Amino acid sequence: MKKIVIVFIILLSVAASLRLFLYAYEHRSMQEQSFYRYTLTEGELKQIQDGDIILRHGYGLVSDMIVEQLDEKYDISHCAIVCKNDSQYMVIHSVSSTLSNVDGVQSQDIRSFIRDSQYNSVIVIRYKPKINKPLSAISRKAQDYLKRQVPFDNAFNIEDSSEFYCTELLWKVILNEYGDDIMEGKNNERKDHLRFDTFLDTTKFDIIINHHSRKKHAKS
Amino acid sequence: MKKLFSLVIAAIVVIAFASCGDKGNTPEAVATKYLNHLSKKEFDEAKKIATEETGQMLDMMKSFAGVGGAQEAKEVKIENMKCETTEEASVCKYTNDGKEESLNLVKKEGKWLVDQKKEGAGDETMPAEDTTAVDTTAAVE
Repeated sequence: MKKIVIVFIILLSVAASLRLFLYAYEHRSMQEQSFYRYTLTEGELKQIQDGDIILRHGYGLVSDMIVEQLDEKYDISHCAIVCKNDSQYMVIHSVSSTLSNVDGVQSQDIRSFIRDSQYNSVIVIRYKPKINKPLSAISRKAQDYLKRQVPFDNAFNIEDSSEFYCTELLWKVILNEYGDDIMEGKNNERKDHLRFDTFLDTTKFDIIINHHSRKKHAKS
Repeated sequence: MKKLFSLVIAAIVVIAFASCGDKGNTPEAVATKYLNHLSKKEFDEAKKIATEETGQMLDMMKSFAGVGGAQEAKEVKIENMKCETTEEASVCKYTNDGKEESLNLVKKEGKWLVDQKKEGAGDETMPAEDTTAVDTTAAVE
């Protein structure tokens, strides 16, 4: 009988140790997550202007699927327009209600937007206007769409401009403000309207910040 | 003492048999099945083991995959699936091609369903302050 009690106590101790190990592991993961909070430096923030565009790779299965599906040079799943008032920064972007608490065009604090991005995934770009018009026209138009509460385009149909998906918002803003169709010549391939490499064409955009280049194993 | 020992043995046997009941309806099995469907772009199949809200997300993913053109399904390696489960909810952690990820599940009417968390924007996301009614079906210029 004594033997059985001893075996029982040993089993209980093993189970308790296992539980303690799992708890410690979980706690360490949470600590790591809060330690690696992704931010832009103050110097980088000063470089950013009103009307700049941020590209990023977000967290989660949907973001990963977008990256996998597009299979581009840089892993990017989302984009947003910067609106800067004095020293206040925010972004305007379009997100589906299946992924966000708000459907369609919405605003977010820039720090929160960066924090929701995968580490070293942010690229900041600046449109090169073909006409003499300040870049603030981009953020002004984005704010106009924000006020109009344009819903998210779950069908990803660029021909229907009553709703916007994320790259469609940028395309439409530049088209309306500068008369420049940055997707021109891509109308036969609907997939091209979803791609982010359109925004990395250096004849149309300047790359201001590129954190992808800090990655150890950047795609060639 | 002998009676107590018999009771302990009986309890262990009952628990062991109960846990062998429906092997397909464990958080681990449902999460693995869901991820395999996603990797094969079988969104309709994945929807069958997801909550209604996650189903809407899958419809959006299906739509995106459709526009993006047909692509070969990628073989993924789901490993180290470990779920922390309470009576009604479970958080499953796993590695996908070596990358640590997690998936939430909820129990509804005795069935484990994937309940994917919203991921697009943080808590500080804001709609427009001006809530003037707009015709959202009209083209916007």
